Amino acid sequence: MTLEDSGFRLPRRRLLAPLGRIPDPVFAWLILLPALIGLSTFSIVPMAIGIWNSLQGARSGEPMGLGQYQAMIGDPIFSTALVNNLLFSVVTVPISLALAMLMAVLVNRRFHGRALARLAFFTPAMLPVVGAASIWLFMYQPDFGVINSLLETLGLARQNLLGQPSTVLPALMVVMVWKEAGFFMLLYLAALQSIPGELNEAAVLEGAGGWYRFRRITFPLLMPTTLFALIIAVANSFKHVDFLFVMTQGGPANASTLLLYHIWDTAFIQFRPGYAAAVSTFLVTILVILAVVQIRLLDRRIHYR
Amino acid sequence: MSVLNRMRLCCGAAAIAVGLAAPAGAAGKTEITLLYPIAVGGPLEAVINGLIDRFEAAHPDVEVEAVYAGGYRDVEVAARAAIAAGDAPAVALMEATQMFELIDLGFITPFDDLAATPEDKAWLGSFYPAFMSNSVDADGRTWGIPFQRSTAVQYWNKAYFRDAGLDPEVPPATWDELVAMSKILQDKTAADWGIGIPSSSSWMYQSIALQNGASLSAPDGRSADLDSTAAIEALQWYADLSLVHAVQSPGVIAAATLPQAFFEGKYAIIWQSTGSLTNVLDNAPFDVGVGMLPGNRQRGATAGGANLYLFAGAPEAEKAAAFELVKFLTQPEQAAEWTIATGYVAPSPVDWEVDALKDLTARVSGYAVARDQLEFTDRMFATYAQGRTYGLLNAAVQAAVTGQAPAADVLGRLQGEVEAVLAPYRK
Repeated sequence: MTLEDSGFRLPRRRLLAPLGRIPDPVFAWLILLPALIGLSTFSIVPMAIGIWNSLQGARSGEPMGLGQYQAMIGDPIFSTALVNNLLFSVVTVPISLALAMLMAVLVNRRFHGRALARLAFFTPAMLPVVGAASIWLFMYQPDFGVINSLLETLGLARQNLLGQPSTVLPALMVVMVWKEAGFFMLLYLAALQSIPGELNEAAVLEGAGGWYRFRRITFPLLMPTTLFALIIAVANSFKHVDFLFVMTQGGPANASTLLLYHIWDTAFIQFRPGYAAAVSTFLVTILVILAVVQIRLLDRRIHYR
Repeated sequence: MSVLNRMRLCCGAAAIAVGLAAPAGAAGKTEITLLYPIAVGGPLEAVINGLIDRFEAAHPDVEVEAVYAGGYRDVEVAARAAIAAGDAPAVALMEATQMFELIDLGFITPFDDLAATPEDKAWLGSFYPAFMSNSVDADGRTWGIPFQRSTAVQYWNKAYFRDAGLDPEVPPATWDELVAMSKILQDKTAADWGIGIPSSSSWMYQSIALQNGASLSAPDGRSADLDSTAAIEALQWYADLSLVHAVQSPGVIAAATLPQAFFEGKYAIIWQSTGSLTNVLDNAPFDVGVGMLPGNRQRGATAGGANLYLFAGAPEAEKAAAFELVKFLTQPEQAAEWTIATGYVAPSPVDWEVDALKDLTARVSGYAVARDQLEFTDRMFATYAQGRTYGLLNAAVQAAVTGQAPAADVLGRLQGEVEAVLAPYRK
């Protein structure tokens, strides 16, 4: 008696038989369908509506066109927001990632209070942004804030860091790095623990020093994580603007305004949805281009195991 | 089961369904939504709910759903979203300066249409003119009813005044006195700064401009006069407090943290909204004086705060009910209760005759200061496209205060920008 004759698998086969008759391409699309519905409802359709809105005239009756984009390019606040945002990203992203890697390497060793150190580094990432921003608002306060008291004990003059156009952006960058580094540390920590111990042991036997091992083993093996973290960090530096609402409202005199805050302001305070849609489209385009460039440039240099 | 039985069963089920649904419709209750913000601290939600309960008890045919929507901006976003979804709220408490923008959007309806009886018309005319200046348009139509209104007042640390050999009961009355006294206070007391005037928004600058005789926006909201000599002088004086006289801390001073700095003795005098009155009197660990703002050509303080607005998109029955609610909330009893709970200025002279409020003003003189200052109070900067013009004004004031450019340059540029924004509204 063969297995076929036993009858065990027959009912199953009958149940799945209709599926087998579906052509493969159709079957693939059917499986993708739920994800497609979700993506299009929440991402693709709103994006299309946004682009459509951005092409409407500034006032009703105006023909469709690039009027909103022209207004955007001519708007000095937009240029300020764009320059601020690029500065913000260029400064905060590398520092956040470097700090994150450093902290991860530090707390990956065995020492007393390791769990406590990990927790301390990760705490900023767990705090809600608005809560953290309120804390920093008071820390930066020129008259009774902790930071100014420290400056004073060091014999330096007190600074109104959030109240001067020249210092407001660096002060906000510090908050951003403090907030983000802990999160990326977690990613690096996970990656570090997946690096096989033999590699380091072998290097030690060959007489390699600590820095050499980091440069030749740890750093290259962390590169896939770095690429992933880099893309997220760049996107975050454009996306995470909640602290502006609490700390500066884009001031003084627009010195700390960032693109997403500008979008919110034009959409909900100035009631210019078309203009806001134009800036949003511009922002998404930047983010997509940046992501593609990063992946293309770095992918070739990354060693995937 | 026969066909007949089936029909009976269906009819029965339908009857039950109708019966269940009936109570909502049959009693004929009008349901209205009130959107409101809370801009100052304290358990104010309970106060609002108490007022609403009393209104519902007096108007059994109306049911009010009071929705706490966050800050002023959040209320606006919530109202816009509700209107876009075809479900306009009946009434909302929103910033008085938003009036022209709300008219332009077609969101609100004037109260004059609903005020039919002579009493209603008298009620419309019963409020302080200083507050109505941000509630009435150039044609005399009333689009908002003042509620949760404020002005700026001067708070000073009496202990420091004594330390410096100044009369603790007499605050500076002119700009020159303010600078001179601030210098003395800064030199002779533990205060780091003589004076703190918040610059996180342009609200205080508007008062300073008024003190110099400059009115920054036209009553019809279609034009602005930002670069007059008086306005430029006022802004330069404001900036020079820190840039030249060094009696005020440099940079933008945040309104949110200034009271705390005052409590800690860092400032001898601060300007703040009367909305902070209760907070300041309760929390300052020293004797606080509360007085009118000083003046230059005249005394002056701009109004602040909110209006109750009726929405055009609500059904007529809801509008009528909302009209009753607004009338109820601004009756002396209720207005006085709100003032006592918050420090906001009761908007009508009769409110100040209510015993509870009379007692309070007799005990704590600070509450009467804002009322007495109303004589020198005028409208806030309010135009069409307020979101844009106000943002530009705020940025310009901050640019001058932080010394990025002289007031004349800043205001000259601002005038051009604001005129460009307002040009379409003058066609």
